[in-house]
Amino acid sequence: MQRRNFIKVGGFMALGMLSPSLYAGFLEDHAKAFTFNSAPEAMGNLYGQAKSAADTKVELKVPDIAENGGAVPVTISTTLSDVVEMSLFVEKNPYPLIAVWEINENTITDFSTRIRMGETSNVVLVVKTQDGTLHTATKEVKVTVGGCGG
Amino acid sequence: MGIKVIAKVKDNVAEVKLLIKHPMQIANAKTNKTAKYINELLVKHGGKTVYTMYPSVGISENPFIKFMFKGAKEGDKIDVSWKDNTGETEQGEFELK
Repeated sequence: MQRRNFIKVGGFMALGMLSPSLYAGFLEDHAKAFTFNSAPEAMGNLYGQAKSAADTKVELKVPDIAENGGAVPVTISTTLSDVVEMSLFVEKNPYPLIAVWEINENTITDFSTRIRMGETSNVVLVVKTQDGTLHTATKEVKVTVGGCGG
Repeated sequence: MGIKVIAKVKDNVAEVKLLIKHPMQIANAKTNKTAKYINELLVKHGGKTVYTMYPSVGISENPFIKFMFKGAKEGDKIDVSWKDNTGETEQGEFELK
């Protein structure tokens, strides 16, 4: 038992219940954005009529071809300053909004994760800056075997 | 469930890799499966939030997350917590190396 505890040091250390109030209020306002079946509707929920334009300071790294749509590696980053939020969409997924990131004071705007893609689709990264404008990057990923089966 | 963390500090910048054991299950009427996915993920350092993510079923099973934040030093601790759409939560504290 002691040995097992020793091995856990530095790894997983605690399991506990958290009050939902520890979390920010984003989902109270925008949980619905994740339920839309079209990317424009999901974007409308998040950003209303905010102006949006492609920006070379926004970088979306995805593979050209994904053999396994169940886990497509994605890196999103931007060199823009005053970033408040980033969001990622897969246009042809049943639920196009993949995730939203809020940017905190010490956060570096460079994230990686793995996403599901049901079929070949455009992937869109949206970066919102403090002035309310949206900066985007779009890339197509060809998917050989889709990853949205449940 | 379980959270694995690899976190390194260089020049006061922490690079954190998280691997969270979670099914990120998509609802499927044919198999009667209901959706179960992490919808909030927070990481705190010294009382400040340094990572805020709202995932969906669009994130792969057993999510992999990588991010970086400033103002870190070796030996500091980070607090990782998530909540899923069924209300289940998990939290853990990890040391930066």
